Amino acid sequence: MTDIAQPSTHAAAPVTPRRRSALQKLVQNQSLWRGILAIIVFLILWEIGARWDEWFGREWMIPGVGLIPPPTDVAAAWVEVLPKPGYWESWYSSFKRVLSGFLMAMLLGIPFGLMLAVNKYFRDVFLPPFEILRPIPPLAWVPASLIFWPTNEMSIAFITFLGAFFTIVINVLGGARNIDVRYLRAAQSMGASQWDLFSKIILPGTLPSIFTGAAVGMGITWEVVLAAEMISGGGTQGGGGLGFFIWNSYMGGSLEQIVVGMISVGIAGYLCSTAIRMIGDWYMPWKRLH
Amino acid sequence: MSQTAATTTVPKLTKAPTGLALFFYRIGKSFQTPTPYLTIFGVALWLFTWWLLCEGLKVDRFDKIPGPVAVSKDLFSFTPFQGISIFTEEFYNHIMVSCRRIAIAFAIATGVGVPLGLFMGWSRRIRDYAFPILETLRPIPILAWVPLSILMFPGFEAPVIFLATLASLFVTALNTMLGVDSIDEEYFRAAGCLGSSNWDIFKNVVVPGALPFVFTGLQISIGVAWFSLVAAAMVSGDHGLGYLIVDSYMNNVTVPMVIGMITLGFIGWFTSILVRMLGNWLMQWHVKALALQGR
Amino acid sequence: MNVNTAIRSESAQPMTAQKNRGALSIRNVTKIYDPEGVNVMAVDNCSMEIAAGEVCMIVGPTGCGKTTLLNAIAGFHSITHGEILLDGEMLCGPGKPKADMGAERMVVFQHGALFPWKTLAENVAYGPIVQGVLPKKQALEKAREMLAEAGIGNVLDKYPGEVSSGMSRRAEIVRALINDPKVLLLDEPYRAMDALTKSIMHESLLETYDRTKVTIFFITHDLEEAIFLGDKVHVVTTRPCQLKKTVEVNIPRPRSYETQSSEEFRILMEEVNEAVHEEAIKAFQAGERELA
Repeated sequence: MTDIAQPSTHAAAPVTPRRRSALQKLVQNQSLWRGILAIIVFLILWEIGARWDEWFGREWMIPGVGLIPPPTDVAAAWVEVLPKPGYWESWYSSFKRVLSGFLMAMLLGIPFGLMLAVNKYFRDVFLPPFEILRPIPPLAWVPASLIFWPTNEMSIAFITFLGAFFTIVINVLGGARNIDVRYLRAAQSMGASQWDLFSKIILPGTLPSIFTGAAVGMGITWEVVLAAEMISGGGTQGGGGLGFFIWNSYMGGSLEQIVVGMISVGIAGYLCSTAIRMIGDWYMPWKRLH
Repeated sequence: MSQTAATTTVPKLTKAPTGLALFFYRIGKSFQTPTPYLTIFGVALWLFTWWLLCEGLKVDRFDKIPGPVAVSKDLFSFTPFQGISIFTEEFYNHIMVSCRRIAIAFAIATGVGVPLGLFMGWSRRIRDYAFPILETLRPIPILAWVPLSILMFPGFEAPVIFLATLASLFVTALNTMLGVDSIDEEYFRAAGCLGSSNWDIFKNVVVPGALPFVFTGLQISIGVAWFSLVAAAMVSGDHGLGYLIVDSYMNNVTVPMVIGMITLGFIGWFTSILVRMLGNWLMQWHVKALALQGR
Repeated sequence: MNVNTAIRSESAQPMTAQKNRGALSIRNVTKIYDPEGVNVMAVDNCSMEIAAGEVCMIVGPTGCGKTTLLNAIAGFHSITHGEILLDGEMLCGPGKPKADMGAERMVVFQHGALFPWKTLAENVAYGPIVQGVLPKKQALEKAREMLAEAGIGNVLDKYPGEVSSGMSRRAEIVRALINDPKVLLLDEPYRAMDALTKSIMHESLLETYDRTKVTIFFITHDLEEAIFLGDKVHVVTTRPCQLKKTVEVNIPRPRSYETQSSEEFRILMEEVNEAVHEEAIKAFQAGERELA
């Protein structure tokens, strides 16, 4: 039985590293700088590609990119359009449609999904028709919806609702059914009632899936709203929405505005997804540890 | 007190059914549970409600939409009243056009998206450069690209295919990258210990390891491709199922419109199953492992 | 009858340890992690000497940093201070904080790292193929041979997901040994197994060791396993990891399962237990989430 080995000649003096400030960490983040560089290069290439025919003559126009307005023109058009109320009205209209359709889809979809998950008979009866209707792309419903609903607004709202509804239900169903059965058993052995099981285990356990479904559903909602606005002309009462803005710019030949519209919609969509993510983080603090 | 011991005959053990016999065995077994009856009931209920609202009671506004009777009458007749049935050439033309577009879009998106995703997952540098660009472009809804794509590409086909490709590409690349991320660090270490070069690791760890996620992504991406295709075809196009739906609507013939919708749903579902089957075939190990876990 | 006499092939010959093949020297190694700017000292000034051909067991409470040591030897992590030498050559140390990964230090992982997408035979053949040592056909042949020797010849062409954990762990060890490593690094490889499978694995490992005399660096928290398999048992403290006590196991080889009920074994158990128990209580009270 031997004891601890003899200390060797390499005496180590442990050094405690300094804590870096948040700003320091941001500045030293290599990934961040590479990303910024990539985007700058992308913009430069875009600018060059779009302006090539301007500098070197029509014959040299690069196929595809050559006809797109360059970023500098787009930026100028954007600055021009910012003070106009019509632009912001489009934002408002689109947001209104997105939120109303989305909220309706959540209000109906979450309970429906939970019912499907919890009750086997309900699921056996209502899931098959649901699964038959689900593969039909929401936009395929547009003409039917236009026929059915009296006003444009309602038909657009219906399609938006459909788009998000299917996604949310599927996610909720999957999430609820994936809850580890041991949690339920543990609760039951501690004397939980059916309602307790539902409100304290199934509901919180399904929250992550609800938020995933919401995030994906939100993306679909934006797509659908855009499409509906483009197809149906957006309605002439008040703002037609961002989709109409884009389509109108296209029709009117204002190419830079098309891109302005595209970027605006991108930003709008991004804001919505971030909002959902932040609400999710707030509601589910235990997830932040991941 | 009689001592008649009941002689229980132990049933002879027969071999477990495999293949087709297993399929029928499972169907037979399932019919002993209420599930399939309820399924049939659910579908029947839905069909009945549809019929009732659109044709039976002719509820206001519902009556403008054809019910199941009108649709099936046309669908299965040789001389369809409104022009489209399974016996008309036009029907298959539209289907073929749509399928061909999907095939091209899906092929390009997968051919570009999977390698891109693999490299992004594997190399920190590539991810740092490529991911921000993707993430900046991704929030822009595919449909917002429609006017731009019409400007960029000549003709009708190219913009439509471009849109479906773009939508599919984002999903595929992202899911593939997540697939690489999901590979347990220990496999990389094991491969490193065993003396692999970087390329060996890519071929033997990164690619097979990411496959399950890749195929999940591909299933989603084909759905997204269909979605975009329909949207694009509706906005500008002259063939294909999306066009069929809009055109019928414009011309006030509603039955082909519904037929188009149903066909779209069916083909979309079918292609998704095809992708899943392809995935199962390529990933025997995964399927077997899952089967043994009872899933 | 010993399980191993049933599976030992006739051609196997016991080898003697080759001089200076697989001697590890860990000198004053310190490892400090820096997650989020809060330094975590995983290993603190730890030193140990492992002779060539020795079976060295590292015992300590879970999450105390012993895996970090193994990772440093294998080249998965860097070290902050100190140095590690293999047969006199520096693996990592001043100027080279992270060792290269290499087939002379093969690792067998805790949760098993057989590639799930390759069959057992393909897994084992992977090393020689990828190092260019053998062409594919011969590598597969040799793999099949070695797997058969290890007693898993009938599941060669199955995937790891289809076989029992005992089989797959044994296959993993074969995958390591086919590369003729100097050191075999095992990170709690039998942790997830039931006691019955474990005892079979122990006998299999002992038999393998008797045949190849490869240096073994084995991390475990199972004291019986440590004494049964090892030549030396190093007891380490809770985080940060330091060598606390070394117990020499003088039970002669080859060992069989009867050894476990001998008096000598019991005495050694008491000794090791005394040293570990204190550390185990400390680790429990610290209550921190275990380091990977």
